[in-house]
Amino acid sequence: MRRPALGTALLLGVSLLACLGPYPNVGEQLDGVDLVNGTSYIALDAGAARILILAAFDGGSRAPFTRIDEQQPRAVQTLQGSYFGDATNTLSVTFSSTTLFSLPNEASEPVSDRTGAKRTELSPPMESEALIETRTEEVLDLSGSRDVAGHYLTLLGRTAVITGTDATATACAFHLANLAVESSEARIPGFNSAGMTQYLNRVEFFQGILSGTVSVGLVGLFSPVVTTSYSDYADFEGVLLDGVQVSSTNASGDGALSGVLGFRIQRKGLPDLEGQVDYRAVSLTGGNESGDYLVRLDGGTEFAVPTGRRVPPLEQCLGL
Amino acid sequence: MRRPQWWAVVLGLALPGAGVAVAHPLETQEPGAAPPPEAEVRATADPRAGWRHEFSPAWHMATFWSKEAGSHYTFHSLSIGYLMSVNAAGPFLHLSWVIPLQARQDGRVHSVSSLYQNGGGIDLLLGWQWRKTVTAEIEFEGGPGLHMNALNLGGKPGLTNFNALQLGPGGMTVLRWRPGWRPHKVGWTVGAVGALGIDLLDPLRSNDLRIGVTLRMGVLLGVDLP
Repeated sequence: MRRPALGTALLLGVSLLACLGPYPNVGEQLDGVDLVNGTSYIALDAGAARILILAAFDGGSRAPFTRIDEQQPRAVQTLQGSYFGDATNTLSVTFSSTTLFSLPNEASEPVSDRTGAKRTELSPPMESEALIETRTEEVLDLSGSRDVAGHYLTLLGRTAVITGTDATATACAFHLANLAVESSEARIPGFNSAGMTQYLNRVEFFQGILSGTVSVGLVGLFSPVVTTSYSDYADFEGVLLDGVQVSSTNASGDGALSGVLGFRIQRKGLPDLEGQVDYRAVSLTGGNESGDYLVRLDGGTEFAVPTGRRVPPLEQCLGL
Repeated sequence: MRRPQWWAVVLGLALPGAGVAVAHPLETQEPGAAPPPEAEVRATADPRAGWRHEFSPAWHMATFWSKEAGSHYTFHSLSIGYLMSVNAAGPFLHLSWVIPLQARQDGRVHSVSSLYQNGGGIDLLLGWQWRKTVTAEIEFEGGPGLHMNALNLGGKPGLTNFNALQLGPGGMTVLRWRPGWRPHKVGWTVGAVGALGIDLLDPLRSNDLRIGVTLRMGVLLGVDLP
């Protein structure tokens, strides 16, 4: 009886501070991702990254896909569903999206007013028509619907552009790793909002789209400490995460990050590039990051990579 | 408290030095004691006067519709409540601990215990009531108020929590039997209670609540201590 009473008291307390967004479904799964094992492509548009993962048809006429859009400052939209071709026109492809994971940019909102990350089931599915303009081993050009269109290059081919352990290579490796971190955050319902209170005194696990898991847990309601742990986590080809990120704040989201997150950048024709990011120099104000990520590639020295806009931009990092 | 006690209290206050009589019914007083002023006795002899403190187990149903998804939810629960009201016209409080048993959404029926752990809620109805006597021992009470239904269901591993904080107007009625039988000078009441809340706001859920109806129907058991 004590825990329900505490839970209800917590509910009343939280209600004075925040809103938790719309009602969930009864018995809703926290993790609702589909695993998609396929080729990962990346397209860039003025610093915004679009990652497309296409599973092979394997003899069938329909295969799963994932499209991840990451804007700056942090805003993520991930679509999942299936894609299929047109029997009368082999260059015409329809993407049928059934799930949307979103993490909106709410940097200007107080934490208590944010909706945070959420998953939406699209019913009926959202259909996006596209035309394959070019398809080679390295390039995929899609025109048509803005939901999927882009000039894509294979991710593993692009990560091979990052070489050495100097400041630029270190920052570029971090920016790629951070794409995976931000992608994972969109998958955790309530992330970046008061909705995180649902992880109070529990640890929940979420599958990577490609492999591994990320877990999240929260301790303390009014001085919340959120621990996010990655284990061989990958949402797309080219980046694997392994380590811990901890945020310690007050109820307004003021505090700091800590923890060390290891990353491995896979490169076509080259050995993996391994490194780690130390979060101890990152401050949080209203849930927004400031300060520096302390990043070091194996065999290199530690460099401070400032929070905020990516410097150098991904276009430069990936040689686009 | 029962009528003879009230008379005794009034007499005790009205007649200095007769404090001994306070704890005793009128009929036990000395034959020579001065009778109370008739008007005063009439004014304080109202059987509707006084406090009522009651325990009430009840069936509790909260059904509501959401705006964004257009879903229809219904929770059936057991509630255990404390009911309090004062005088022929006065404030009332119904405070219930709610134990959800069954959850429904859009036709799907779930046992709460299969999906959630540490679930519970609070139903609060606070307002103004009026009492009427139907017979010397049967009393009717009713009135409007403000209603709050708070629900918190902690999800089992892998499942989301479900919580709500619904607010709106409400009202209640009580039918109460107050027999004169007083074993060991303890008076008692039994009866039935019905309460309705029309919930219009949920600040916890970004006002995703379109409308909600909360219904509570149960029995009550109260005591009048001597």
